Amino acid sequence: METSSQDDPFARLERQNAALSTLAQHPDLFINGPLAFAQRVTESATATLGVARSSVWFFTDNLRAIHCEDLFELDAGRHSEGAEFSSAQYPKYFAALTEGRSIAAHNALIDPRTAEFARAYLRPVGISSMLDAPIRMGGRLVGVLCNEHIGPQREWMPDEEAFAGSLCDILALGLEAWEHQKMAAELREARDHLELRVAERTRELAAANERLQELDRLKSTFLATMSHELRTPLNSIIGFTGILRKGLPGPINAEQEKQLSMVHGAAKHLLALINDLLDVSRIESGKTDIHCTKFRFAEMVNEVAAQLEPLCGPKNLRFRVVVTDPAIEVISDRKKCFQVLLNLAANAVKFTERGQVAVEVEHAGGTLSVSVTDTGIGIRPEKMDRLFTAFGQIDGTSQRTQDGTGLGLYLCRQLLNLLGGEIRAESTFGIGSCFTFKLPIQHTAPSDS
Amino acid sequence: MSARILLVEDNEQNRYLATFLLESAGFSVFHAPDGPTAIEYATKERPDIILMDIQLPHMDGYETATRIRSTPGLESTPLVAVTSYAMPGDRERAMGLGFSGYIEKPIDTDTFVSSVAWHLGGKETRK
Repeated sequence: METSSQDDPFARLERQNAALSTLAQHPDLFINGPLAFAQRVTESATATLGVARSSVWFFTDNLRAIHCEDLFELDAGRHSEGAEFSSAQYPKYFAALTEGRSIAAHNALIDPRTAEFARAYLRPVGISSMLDAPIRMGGRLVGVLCNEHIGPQREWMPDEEAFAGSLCDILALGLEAWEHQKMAAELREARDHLELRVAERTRELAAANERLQELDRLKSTFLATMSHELRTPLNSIIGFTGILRKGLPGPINAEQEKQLSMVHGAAKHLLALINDLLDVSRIESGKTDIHCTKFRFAEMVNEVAAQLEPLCGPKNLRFRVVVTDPAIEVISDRKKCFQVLLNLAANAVKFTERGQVAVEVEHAGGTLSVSVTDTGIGIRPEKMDRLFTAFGQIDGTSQRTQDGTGLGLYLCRQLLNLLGGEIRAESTFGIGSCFTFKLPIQHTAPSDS
Repeated sequence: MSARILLVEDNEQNRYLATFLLESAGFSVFHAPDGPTAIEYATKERPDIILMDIQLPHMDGYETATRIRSTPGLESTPLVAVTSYAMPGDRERAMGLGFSGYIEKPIDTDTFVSSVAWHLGGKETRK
């Protein structure tokens, strides 16, 4: 029997260690992949063990077959692959393999684990001895490294068995590292892809945002232009009817005065509509500034009363103001408070033919409560929920019976929102209405720095 | 002698309306249709007050106001915008560029003359 022990066992161990060290640092695995690495393993096995053929096989079909990934023939210096053996053909060999230990067959032709190959394979090739070591990945049997000796049979040394086992370990570690690298690359790719998608979406959103801003600019420009263009003819209509009614160009008769006052009223209405629309647009686009000052609320209420009293006279309406604490001072936007109260009180006067309109102001805690009560026509219950919406007077079914822009109460609510307040309405149809708004005595909106 | 008013207005109806009201109140009014002419007349005629639209041909009211203010002798002449610009910031912009008053169109026939008189201040001399 031939052994490899003819050479110095220390020199052999040194060779084995050198081979393992070279493989462990071999760059092929990460450059050219697992097949190239398997080829380096089989080359190293033939050279170090001094065998004619080394091959790497992997299990397929649930351990029922093995497939040759690489066979290296030392003399020919040739790699090949593709052979397959099944457990049905070679049951004893497979049984030995699945035990998971090395198969060191000194005489492969008669060894019970390998004798199955004798006729079909060992004899034709001239193989006498086989050293097969199992390849495990993560403790699981995945393949086998076969070393085949041609010529006189050979005795495998324990260090050679161990070396074959180490080659398998290196191969397995290499494959695992390759898998990890592949997964890492896939993860990187997925992450890069995700980043690209995020960047793309960000660009899309930025573009959409830009379009919205452009639309907002267009809307503002449109409103400014319309406001300007509508005011120019209104200047003539309101101006010249005003002059005619004053009698400046000459006296007019009662009928002419009546008709001119209608033109004048209609033009003023149109102007109010334009102004309200601008207000609504400003509020809705968040461009309304709040200018807070400290002022006596009672004085402001009296100004509203003074402005409306001339309208009460002809209808013999009583306009009553009750302020429980006339000295009470509030910190809020005076102009906007005035606008809200004037709107509510003017509505009350407009919709009341007899009786009275009362503005009552009281306060509790940090809140001012202002109510405007009238003895007017009241509001139909079915209209209550549309009261504070834009153009709430128009419901599509009934005709409008009163003048007004239809934006007054909507504006009141929006303005009160800005001032940190709220508004509600109660009404009995035919008896009268009561609008109550609450307002913080000290306005503290975050927008008002 | 009545106060002399330079009215800078390109729209014929607006010009007629303001002139009618002011002349009815005894003021003397003369016209410029655009900014450059306004500067020329103002320099030559030294009006007691200038009423000026903002949207004007050739040179807008803002630019005209700036130039009027830098003209020797016109630094403190009352200069009132009479304009259809009613968007937020319009008034502030005008006041920042040298206008001393701002009347929004449509003008109120009941208050227009008294507003102009108020801006004339001490210089007001009426028939």
